[in-house]
Amino acid sequence: MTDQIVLDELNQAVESTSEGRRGASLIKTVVLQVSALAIFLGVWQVLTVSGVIPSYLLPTATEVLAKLGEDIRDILSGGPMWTHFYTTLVEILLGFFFSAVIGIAVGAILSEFKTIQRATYPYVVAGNATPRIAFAPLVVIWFGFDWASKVVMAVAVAVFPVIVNTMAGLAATDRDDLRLIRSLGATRSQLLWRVRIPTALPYIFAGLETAMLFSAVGAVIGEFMAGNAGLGYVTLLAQELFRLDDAFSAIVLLSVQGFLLHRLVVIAARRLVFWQAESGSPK
Amino acid sequence: MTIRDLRKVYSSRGGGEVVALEGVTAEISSGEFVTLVGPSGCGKSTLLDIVAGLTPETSGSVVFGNGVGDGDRSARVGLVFQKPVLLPWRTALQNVFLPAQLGTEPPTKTDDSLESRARELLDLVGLAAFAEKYPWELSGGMQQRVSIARALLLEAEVMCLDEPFAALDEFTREQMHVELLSIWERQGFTGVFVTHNIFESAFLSDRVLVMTPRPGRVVAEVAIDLPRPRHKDMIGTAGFTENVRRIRDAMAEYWTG
Repeated sequence: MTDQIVLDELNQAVESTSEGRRGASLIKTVVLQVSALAIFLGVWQVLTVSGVIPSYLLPTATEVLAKLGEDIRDILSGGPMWTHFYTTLVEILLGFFFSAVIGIAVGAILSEFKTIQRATYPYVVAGNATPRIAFAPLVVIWFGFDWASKVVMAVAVAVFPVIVNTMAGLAATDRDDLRLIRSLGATRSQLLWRVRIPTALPYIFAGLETAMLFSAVGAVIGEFMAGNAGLGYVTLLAQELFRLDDAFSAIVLLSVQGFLLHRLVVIAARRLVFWQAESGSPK
Repeated sequence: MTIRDLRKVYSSRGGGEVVALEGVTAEISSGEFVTLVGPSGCGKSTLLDIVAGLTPETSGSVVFGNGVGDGDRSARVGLVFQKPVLLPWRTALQNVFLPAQLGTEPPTKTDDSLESRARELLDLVGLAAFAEKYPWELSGGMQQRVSIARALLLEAEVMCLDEPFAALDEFTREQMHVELLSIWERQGFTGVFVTHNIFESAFLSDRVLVMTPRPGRVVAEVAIDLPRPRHKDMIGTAGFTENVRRIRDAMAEYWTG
């Protein structure tokens, strides 16, 4: 039991010192990051107000912040900006959902059925290499001007990282794990469910993180192509009306949206793949 | 357990053949503790894999006590590897319990009794308080004890250990030797232990089978005449040193590195 005592002492030692240090360094980090933003906005303001950058190319930082504040109030009170915000959010989430379902299914089928994999893998690679954005005009013809074409674009962009990571994850089972499991006489499906799928989970989640960000890219492209709602549409409209502050505000809102959605996937991954961070192994 | 005229040939990438084992014959009695000792590449791990049913033999046979031979080997053999090979998403207890959840034949006992057996085994290896801990929360020695407990779950009659302590530090390793022997004395399985450490082989075994490479064969057999139970104090005594010397001599006679 000496192991236990040593382990506990070590843990305590590590926790007590790093907790204090972590608190101090967290404050330091926040101060640094806020300063960086303040400097960035200050330089922007100086360059625009002084006329170094003319106002028809770039609005002042304060104009953008004022517009952003107005948009956020509008979102919170359920105004027209809320509709745009909500529309894009739903498109991204649907795109992510279908990318996850289709990506995991296709990845699993390709890694389980070697004949199908051999027959189709070059085309999966080719599909991944194709800039799927090029399909956007066709997608509008096939799926119309409504939300469906945006979701299809989102899936087209976001599904490949999920496929590729699912395949990599299902192939990542350690040689020693396989030896152990075979020595215990496991069936193919036991091997799959008890070992290969848990082993694949960290890889799949890495793919899902990327998919969430890519889904937003696809949704915005879809909104550029057709339709009359969404934050992507707002930036397009702002271009036509030469309202650059509107465009910047919508872009900031898209950025915040993407950041929060990505965090959601990261948090879900930490919960479900709880062993990844702690074990410190590629698993 | 009778190993008769075992031969294992691997075909190499260039199309040639590599003879990993040649004419290996050995008789291991039930409850005996036998060590396979030899330099790297002598085929000792291959021999262990064949006994455990992980690799098929090219020719020859391995027959267990009551005439049960091929096919059903894996169920009768517990395996401990050099690495603990614990699944990181399972607690110590769930890792010990894993063998009960695998295999085509459902375990004869109910899950409850197997779970209480898993707890008993954790207690046996001194980890009762760590049942709900995850592998990364345990030290290397503790992880290897969990893997020994796992190998004991289905009460296999033969326990194969493939350099299980090679990755541990010297002090932990010595402690594990004593613990392994006390578990062996209580559980009564047949131990087949692979190592390249001559001291380890002398301390643990009833008998040491000395192997040499190219092709891998058993060239000598050394009976260890140290009394049981063995203690750490025995290491360094004249009797222990004499046994180590006999293993050395047996190897030197057939092999020059």
